[in-house]
Amino acid sequence: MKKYLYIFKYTFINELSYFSKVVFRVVSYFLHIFVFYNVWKYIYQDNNVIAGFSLNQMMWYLILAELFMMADSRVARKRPIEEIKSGSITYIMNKPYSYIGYVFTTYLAEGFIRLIVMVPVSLIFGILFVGPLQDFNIKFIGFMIISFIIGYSLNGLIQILISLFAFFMEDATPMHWLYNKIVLIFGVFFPIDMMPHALQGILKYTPAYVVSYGPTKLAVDFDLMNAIKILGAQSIYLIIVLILVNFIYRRGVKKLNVNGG
Amino acid sequence: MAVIEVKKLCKTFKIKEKEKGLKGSIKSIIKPKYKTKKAVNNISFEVEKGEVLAFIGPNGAGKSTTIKMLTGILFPDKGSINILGYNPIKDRKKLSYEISSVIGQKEQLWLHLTPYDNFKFIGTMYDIPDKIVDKKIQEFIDVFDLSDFINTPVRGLSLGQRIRCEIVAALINEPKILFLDEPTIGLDPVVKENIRTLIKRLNKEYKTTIFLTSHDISDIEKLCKRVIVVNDGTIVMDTTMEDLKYHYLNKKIIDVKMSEEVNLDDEDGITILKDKGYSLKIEVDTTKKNIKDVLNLLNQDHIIDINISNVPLEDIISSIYKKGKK
Repeated sequence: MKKYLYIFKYTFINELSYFSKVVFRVVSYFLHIFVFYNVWKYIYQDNNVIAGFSLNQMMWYLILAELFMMADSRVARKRPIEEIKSGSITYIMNKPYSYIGYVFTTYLAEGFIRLIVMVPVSLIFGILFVGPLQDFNIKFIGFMIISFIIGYSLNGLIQILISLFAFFMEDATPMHWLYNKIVLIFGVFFPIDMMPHALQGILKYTPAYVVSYGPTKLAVDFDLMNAIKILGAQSIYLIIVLILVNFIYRRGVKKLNVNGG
Repeated sequence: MAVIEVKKLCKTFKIKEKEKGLKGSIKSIIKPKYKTKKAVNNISFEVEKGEVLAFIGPNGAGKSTTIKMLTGILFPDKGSINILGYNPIKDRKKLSYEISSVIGQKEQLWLHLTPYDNFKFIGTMYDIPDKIVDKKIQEFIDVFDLSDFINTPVRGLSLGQRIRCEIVAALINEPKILFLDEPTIGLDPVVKENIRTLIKRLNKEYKTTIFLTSHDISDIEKLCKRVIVVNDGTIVMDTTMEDLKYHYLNKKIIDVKMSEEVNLDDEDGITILKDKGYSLKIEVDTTKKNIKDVLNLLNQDHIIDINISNVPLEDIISSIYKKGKK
């Protein structure tokens, strides 16, 4: 465990060199929220509630879900693919730590540095623009934080899993594109509740539900039964993804074909 | 005592083949074709503790593939490997504490961290207590003269300083065997010499076994006592440096540009490879003729430019290979 804390620590130090990138992310975040604020305001002109969300809840849903996407580090989707393709994975594989653990910890550390800046900024921005989140109950915040941490971790692990397919295919990038769009559309821009009823049933089995929709829904509209359901789904997803990552990595390493120096 | 034992090692790669043009590209999607290449073909050798071994061969000979199998990165198809009593495939993690590798072109250090932070990080990865890592870093700073740049982020170091740090980083876990794959590639002669001194010193002071691949004959000449030559995945020669020097490294190439035309003919120990009147390319067999004697044959006052070099490694290997075939 100490090793991974060190990887976290040194990634954090390393990432401080790229701190200006965080500032640009904040600007980009504001632009997204501003555009959607105006779109939703227009849509809500004739309605107080849409799919169970008031304008206040819908905007806070977007602020929190978008925050989550902005904190997403590219390391989980880029590094394994690049390292498998170039063969440089071989120089990390024979070190006394887990390659998956190394990439995942780097992903967490890069996300952490972004969240340190973006969480306070987004909360202040939300309160000033939209006003405080209605019906927010601080006593349930523990559920929300745990669900966000699992969701963020799952996002990284699923992206690592997709990247590991580079062991078997020329390019795993299209799979990332598909995953990213599913999460973005059904987990960030439009809550699953807004989709047709038949589609909602299917979407609750997709990563969008456990990665982004679930944790954000708990934050804007907390319900204990719903919390148990979401945390349960996240736990099942976590176990399955961990097993798959481990399995695919072991198979991939055996198949690794790095010709020459 | 042998620290590396390799028996009948084989590795075959499956390489995708594509016909030319658009038609070929579409065909390769529908019905991909593969060809197999024997990268390592039935090689066996042993390396003794404290030995500095050169494992040389032309590009594509199977050197790096062998190193990758020895360090547990690639799975062999056949044969057995024993490194310090471990099977690299089954005991990769345990073995990683006992060995290290430096790959010339690959950066293993974190660019935005200082060498000091990098060394501390690596020490933790190898479960070495902080106090011992600090002591070791201080020792390396003194022995390998790192004090001027120990606190400069790696991205700000010159290539030579970076390679020095890469090698020192590989020593943090006190490896019993150090695999060096082209450690001096792309370096200028002064830096190359510094790196060679460092390698010599770590072999002398820490009794580290060195497994070296290089295309630079000078690296091999100055560092190694034993040489294994590979070509097409097989061992062509396993001999001492002295033997290789006596039989194959006794030739030098002189490229000379003169201000006046020279008339020089072949004689015992001298072969004229190219004669363009004002510029000559001469091969000298140093067992028969001294370089100084050859220079005396030329009018030294009329020399504009001169370059004396070793025969390229590829040429030496192909001559060894040809002899082997005979």
